[in-house]
Amino acid sequence: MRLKLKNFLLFNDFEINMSYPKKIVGSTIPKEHLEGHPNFRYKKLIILMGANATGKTALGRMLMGIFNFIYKKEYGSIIGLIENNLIPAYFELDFVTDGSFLYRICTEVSAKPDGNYESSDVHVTVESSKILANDNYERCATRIPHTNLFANKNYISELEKIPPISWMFEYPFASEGKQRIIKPVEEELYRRYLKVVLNALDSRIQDVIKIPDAEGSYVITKNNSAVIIEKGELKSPEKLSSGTQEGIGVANMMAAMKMHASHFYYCDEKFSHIHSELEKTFLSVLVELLGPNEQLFFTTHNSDILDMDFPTHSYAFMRKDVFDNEQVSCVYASDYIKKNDVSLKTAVENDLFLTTPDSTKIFDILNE
Amino acid sequence: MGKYNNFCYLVEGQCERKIIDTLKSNNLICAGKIIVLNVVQELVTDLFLRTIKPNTTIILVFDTDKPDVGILSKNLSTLNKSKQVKDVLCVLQVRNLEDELSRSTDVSDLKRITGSKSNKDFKTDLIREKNLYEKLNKNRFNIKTMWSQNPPEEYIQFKNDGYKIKKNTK
Repeated sequence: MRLKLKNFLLFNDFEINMSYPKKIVGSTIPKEHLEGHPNFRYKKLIILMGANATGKTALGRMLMGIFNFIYKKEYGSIIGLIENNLIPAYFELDFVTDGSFLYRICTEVSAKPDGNYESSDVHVTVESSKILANDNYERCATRIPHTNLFANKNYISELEKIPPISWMFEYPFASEGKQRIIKPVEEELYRRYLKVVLNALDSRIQDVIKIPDAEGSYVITKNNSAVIIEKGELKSPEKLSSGTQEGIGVANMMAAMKMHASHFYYCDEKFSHIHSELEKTFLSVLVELLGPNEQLFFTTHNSDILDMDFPTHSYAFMRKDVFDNEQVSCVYASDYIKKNDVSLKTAVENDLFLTTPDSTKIFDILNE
Repeated sequence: MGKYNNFCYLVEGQCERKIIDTLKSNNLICAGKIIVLNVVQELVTDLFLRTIKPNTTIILVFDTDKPDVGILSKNLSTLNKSKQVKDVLCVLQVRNLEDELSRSTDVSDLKRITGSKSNKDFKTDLIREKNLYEKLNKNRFNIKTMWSQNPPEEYIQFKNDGYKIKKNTK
């Protein structure tokens, strides 16, 4: 629901809020609230845009680090993300797991000039508040008690207060050729999804066939040739176009969402080699697959996505303040566009959100 | 200034960039991409023209404290000939940004806006100011007064289109 970061990666005094103030009439994302709590409105879809190196991927890495920290209870998951070990690092995350409690985890990692962090440097509090029938996020959050971060010496016992959470991240480059979600009972569904996605990207792909008794292994048939996925890894990737290779990650995400394998999905620029029209269609399908109490982060550079019929509050922009020491912040289209008299795409092209990169620096190369 | 119109500001320097960023974010002037290029002293080239979107209105924001307008005239001619350009508007600062801010606020000493220690610090402080809009308002900033003066004689051929970029002002 809300994340605050200080001294992690490129984030300093950073905050992103995932609630929205009022129900949108005629929204193409129905039931955009916590199941059973119509006033507890959260953004099911967050389309994150922004120039290069503004933190779109870093935000995903940070969230994954926090989730791993909660799940594995190993502080190593967040230590590697600290930007400056001479000062403390802090994060605060409000989130919902099972739909009945709002949790807040606050974590401060003490400064450690020598970089040799120990568990005693990690201070955690976990508090929660029951979500009442008519609660919205803001009202529920005010009931979360404040506790002293340094009172509890054992961060693991604090993390044990949090029920199991599930998440899925898909990053560019990292996941091509690796399908990470396959479980034997769901392999047929995955195979079908893989076939549909790959065929949409390359019409020469005829079929995807499961190799019997070989976990995570498939044959992709293409005209008179075949491409193998062996134990989740794509062999001979050069036989597929870059976009088609990316499709494997897209299929991963879609199949996971169809199976409701997680509550949180982060799809990070999986479409950089995929045609704009196909990206729009895939995004529309991903949103359709979102189940109750699920959330999708979708990062992209494709400005055609701005013309899609999503609520304005679905669009957020990462920006670096060129006038303020490159401080990264998140701005929301809905804070600027209140009426329907402005095209979101035109607003971005006119740099209303101050997110356009300074392209004139590239001209300098001609003076070298 | 319709729903689908594209605008691009060519501004004198970083201070103008900061002011225009601030005013457009607060819905006082039309939004547009900003490029720092002093159109009185530097030529607009194909390098720039190739990158602008078709049907873009170019807004030139420049000081009028330099007597030579040769390059400015040439730039206007170049921009008007470009098939990417829908229109060119001139926003004349008489004679410079500091004078415009003095007229548009109730302060004669601009250091009061930013709390700067010296005139030399003013520009740096202005660029770094996080709450510029609040500070301008605190000093009774009036957008109607900004960019509304007649230019000095050397610039008389350039009509001040400042009013065209302002919202809800005539």
